[in-house]
Amino acid sequence: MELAEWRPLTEAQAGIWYAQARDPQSPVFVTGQALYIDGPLEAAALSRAVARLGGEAESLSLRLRAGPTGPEQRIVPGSAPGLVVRAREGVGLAEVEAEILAEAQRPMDLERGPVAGFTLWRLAPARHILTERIHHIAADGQAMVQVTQRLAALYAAELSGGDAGEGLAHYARALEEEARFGTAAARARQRAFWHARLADLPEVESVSRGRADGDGHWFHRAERPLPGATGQALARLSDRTGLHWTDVLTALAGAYVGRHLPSVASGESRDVVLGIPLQNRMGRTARCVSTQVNVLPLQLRLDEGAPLPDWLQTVGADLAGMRRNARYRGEALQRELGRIGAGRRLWGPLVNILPFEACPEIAGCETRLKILGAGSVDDLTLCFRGDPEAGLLAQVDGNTALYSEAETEAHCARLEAFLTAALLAERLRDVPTLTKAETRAHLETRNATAREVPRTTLTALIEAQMAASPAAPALVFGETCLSYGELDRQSAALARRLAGRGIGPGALVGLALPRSLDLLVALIGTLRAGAAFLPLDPEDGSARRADMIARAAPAVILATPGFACEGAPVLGVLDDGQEAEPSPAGPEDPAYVLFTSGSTGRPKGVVVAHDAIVNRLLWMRETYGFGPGDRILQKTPTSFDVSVWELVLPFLSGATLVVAPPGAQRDPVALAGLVRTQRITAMHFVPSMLELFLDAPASQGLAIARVFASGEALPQRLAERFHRRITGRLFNLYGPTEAAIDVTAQEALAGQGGEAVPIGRPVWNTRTYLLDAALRPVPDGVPGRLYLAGRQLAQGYLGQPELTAERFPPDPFRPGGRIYDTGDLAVSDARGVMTFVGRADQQVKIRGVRVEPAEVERALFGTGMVAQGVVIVEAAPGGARLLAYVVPEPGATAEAIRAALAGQLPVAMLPAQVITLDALPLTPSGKLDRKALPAAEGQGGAGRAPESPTERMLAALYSEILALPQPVDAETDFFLAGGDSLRAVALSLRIEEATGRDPGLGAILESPVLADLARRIERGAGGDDGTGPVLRLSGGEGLPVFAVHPAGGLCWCYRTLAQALPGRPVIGLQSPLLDAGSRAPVSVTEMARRYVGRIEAAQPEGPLTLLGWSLGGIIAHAIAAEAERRGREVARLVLLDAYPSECWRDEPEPDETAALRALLAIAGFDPEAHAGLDSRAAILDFLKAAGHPLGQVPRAVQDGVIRSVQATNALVRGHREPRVRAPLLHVGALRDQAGTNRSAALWQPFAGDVESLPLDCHHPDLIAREIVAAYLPALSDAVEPVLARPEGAA
Amino acid sequence: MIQTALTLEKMRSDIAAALDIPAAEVPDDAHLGDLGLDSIALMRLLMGWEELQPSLPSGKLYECETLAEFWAAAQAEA
Repeated sequence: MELAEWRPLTEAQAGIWYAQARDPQSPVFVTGQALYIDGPLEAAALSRAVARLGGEAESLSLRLRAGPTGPEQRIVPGSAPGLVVRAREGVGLAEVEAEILAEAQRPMDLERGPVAGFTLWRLAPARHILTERIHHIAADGQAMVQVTQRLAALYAAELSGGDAGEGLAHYARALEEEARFGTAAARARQRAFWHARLADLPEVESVSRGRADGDGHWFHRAERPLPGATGQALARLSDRTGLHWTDVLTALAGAYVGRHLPSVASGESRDVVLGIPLQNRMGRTARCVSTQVNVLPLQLRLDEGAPLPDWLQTVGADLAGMRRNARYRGEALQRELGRIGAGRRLWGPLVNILPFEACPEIAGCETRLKILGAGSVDDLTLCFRGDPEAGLLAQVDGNTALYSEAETEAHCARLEAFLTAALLAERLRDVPTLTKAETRAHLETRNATAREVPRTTLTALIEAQMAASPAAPALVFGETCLSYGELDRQSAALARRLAGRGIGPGALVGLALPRSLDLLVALIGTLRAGAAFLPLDPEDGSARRADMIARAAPAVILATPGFACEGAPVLGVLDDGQEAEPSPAGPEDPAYVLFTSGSTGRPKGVVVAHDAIVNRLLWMRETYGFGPGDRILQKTPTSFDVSVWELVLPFLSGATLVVAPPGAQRDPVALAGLVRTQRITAMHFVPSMLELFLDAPASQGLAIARVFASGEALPQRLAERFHRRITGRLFNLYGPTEAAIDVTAQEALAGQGGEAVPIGRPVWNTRTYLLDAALRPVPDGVPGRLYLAGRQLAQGYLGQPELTAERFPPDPFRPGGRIYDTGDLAVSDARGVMTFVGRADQQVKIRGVRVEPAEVERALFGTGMVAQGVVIVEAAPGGARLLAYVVPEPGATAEAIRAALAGQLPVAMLPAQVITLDALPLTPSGKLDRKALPAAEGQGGAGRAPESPTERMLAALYSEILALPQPVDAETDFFLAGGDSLRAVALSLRIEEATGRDPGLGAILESPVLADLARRIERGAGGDDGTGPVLRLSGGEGLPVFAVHPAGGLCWCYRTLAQALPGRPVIGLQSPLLDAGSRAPVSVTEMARRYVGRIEAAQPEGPLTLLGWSLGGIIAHAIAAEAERRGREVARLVLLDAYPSECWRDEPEPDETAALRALLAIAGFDPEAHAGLDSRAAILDFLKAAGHPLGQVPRAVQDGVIRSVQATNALVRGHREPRVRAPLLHVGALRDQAGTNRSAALWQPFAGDVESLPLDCHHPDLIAREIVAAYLPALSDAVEPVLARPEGAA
Repeated sequence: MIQTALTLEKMRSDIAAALDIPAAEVPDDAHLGDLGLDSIALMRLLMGWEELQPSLPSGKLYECETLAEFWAAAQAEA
């Protein structure tokens, strides 16, 4: 076989090639290892051995390229890398190891090569480290072992002059064998086996939640030797089951993975899909340096209750089946089963067992091997090296984009503990998920909330306060104020009258009063009578209230005159009656009963004792420092338990309660007025209402010392808004009515990461447990069902002992205790701070994908087009679907919002409909009223015919490339319809032919649905077509340079500059005017505001560097002003031949022809030199003939450029420059300045310091390569002015 | 009974035992990989066979894919 010619890749190679092509800069596919050699090593002999090795292992000389029909390879003889020797005598080991890691993390260029490297690091004459690196496309782990062993043999031969033994097999054999298998009957048999086995493969869940900070180009590694006893137990269990130890280990590692699936709390976690790398080296390829390893999926059906040996047998049988069909490629299955692209994986974590001795012997030396890179860690890899007798090393590798270093370490420790326990267990059910230390931390350390709180009653505490400060103001309602003494007198009188009716401890008193002074007198009077209060909505005349009254059977209802009610006597607060001495309640007596609606069924009356609510209120008083002088707003309806702390906390603190007029809780303006005039120091909001409050201009600039949010998840975004508008602290509280209002708390600070503000940690004398369906604690990062325990638990549900027993089961961790099942899912971080992730009963599967509506909501807000929004799950005939109800930002439409979501979410998570509303309906308590949302229309979307020209073009290409019958509908998924990576490349080439732009393979992989891809192509989501709002022109480590578009709206003109500027990425900001669907800005200032938002997303902190050419300079200046207004430092503002807007004010605005001719300038041609081109067709023909991409872009983009030229010119004419502090560098084009009054000095009034760099060139030259170099130094370092030049021309 | 020499049938029965299948299901010409043999299992087999016949060319044996090939390679060196 002639290997010097280009040949197609093997299937194994193609898989790696496509993965690398998606991210060419990633080094994750480079396999590498370091061999520590202590002893006399002869570098010259080793160098000769490496050279001989290069002759034998031909794959070290591979080169690869994208060929016309797919990727290709060839061998370039003599191009194998030689040994590089690096003298590092006297350098510390840690330093050299850091260098070695950096070497291991260098990406390889498959086209230019080399695909391998050998470096000898000399630390001392007799201490060396040999590093070997080979791209995974040329060798797998097994091949690396062969290369190393062979190198050792060649070295020995070089030293001794003897025979090196049998050499390696020729590379051609890898290709021949693949071809042979391709036509073998076995291939068809194995294919049929896999298709049958995987026909019902479920969705593959990742064990990672969210993203870590890394770029995914590398992995964290944690390793630990398994104890000898664990190895022995493994050997024993293998004997007992008759299975090979590798199979037992694989199965148990799979069970371990199963404990980390997101569904573990719901009990559905039964299917684990592992990837099993099979060496695939039986026969001719055994000694061929090439990539053969074949990852195949292993579906484990967890049966935690089965006897362990029985379950292991079933896994063993599955593994045996897999081994008999191990030659069929996993890559082929991914393609055939449509398991390619976002959210459709064929396997989850890898379990890799490598019993081979990989460390070679070097004559006269001691050797030790360290594996640096295993050639790709997509997610999580659990690797075991060695064997039970010699010892096993457990190694966990976690991709840096998905796992932090600490998470990877935790996995390794947990894996060891899990395996050790499982090997001795009768059933998996008995095996804890966490290590002993983790269990202790989760159950005890994190719940160490014990705190001395007196066993007393609310009544006693309130009475003590009333006695202590009789003259202090207790209550304010409108113009009326009640002192503590007066409150004492009135409430005591009421208590005596209630007692006169025989009411005392254990009795219930209904409170059906609107917010008023009477309400407070009634509440405190009730407590002083020893009874519990039962809030009733005075305006709710429904059957629901009647049902509540019938079930609670209050002894009396305190109400305003005219309150109509059957089933209980009604009394006015001041009504006369017989009096008696009240008998006080005890700590265990009920303080109140609150009916909660619950999602289904009848309302439940929750009975809360004094002891529970006392704990809650004293915690709050101390934690947030309430005392005399505080003014607490009472605005929450009494049917909502938050009202309890509002109503009572003031009287435990000597503070003043300010009672909002009825209805004010729904009126942001009235609330803001109350806060101002009543000098409120604490108040509560449900997040939905807080959003409305912040929307109201009246809330701007308010000072409220403490604001408490609870009742719904608090988005971080809302916390940020709060801190921008209001001076004060914001606290996120969480808890059900069943546990005395709130049980966890967390301050919501600005500038925190994450989508939602955490709910925090437990309050005093309270324990929280995050458990799986078997009531085992879940690991950090895995959602668990939240259970509560401790002093605040309610006594139960009024008159419903069975329901009480069900929802308050015994505490599995504290004999004699009870827990409450919240039905909420939460996830904890490593510090024990919890975040709410959803309701256990609201998780839903759509097209097999587990969907969390809250996650879709976060994406909704991420579009920036939604002021308020909620995503709900609706049961529909074809299965559940998602509906998004939104209040759009001005100018945003349902279509635009859905399109923006499409760029971010997999299809299954995309709402079927986006329904716009003027406002979201809220319940009286301020929560979203789901029942009041309007019904959606029937099934939308599915089966829609392609509409736009891009969709029709794609429909034709899909059907051509996939050989599908026409018509292809807009919802067709490229991969589900039979596409694979190769066809995706073909599609991308055909799209490039049709549109003149390469959409990028990534675009197709990420947006395989036709409509999504069309939108992406049209809008450039991801910047693939170069017309998106943000265009990354170059990469680099430094702070970015933001280049602002000139009149045409595109930043393509800065490509040369970006290429010439080393080290710093150049990010182009492009005009929204390019996109007809996007709202047009009305001023340069508004444009700048939007751009600063993009800038802040790309560079959240640090000094900014801004650059603009031509009219782009004016916009860059406006951006600097807006950035400074937001408190950002602008280190450098570089204007390329730009002049203040006053220079343009009197110039005529360009007409359509002039705008069209601007296309020429944008394409880099001098319009003056082509005066004859005066029609659209002529200009476009010219650009096409010149081969310029602008000539080939879709008409929509050309229209966008023309629109941008005209609109930007108009906006500039209406703009007036503010002054900025930033230093300004003006680069002028002298040849065009001549004869005009334009000069750098015109900027003097508008900038902190103006430097001028006049260059002898024309305006368009400023972005050309030769000229760019002249001002590049000013951008290389933004902080230090580096220009040395004569003073500017003025 | 202790086996003292490597024979075709000894190889067959060892392979069958490693795969937990009857010896009759290991034909001379089947791809052993497709019967479920992997390189780990093969390595163990070869170690046992080398004890019986130290002159076995293990490098060559690794490249065999059927029982017939194993036997031929073993005989060539015997």
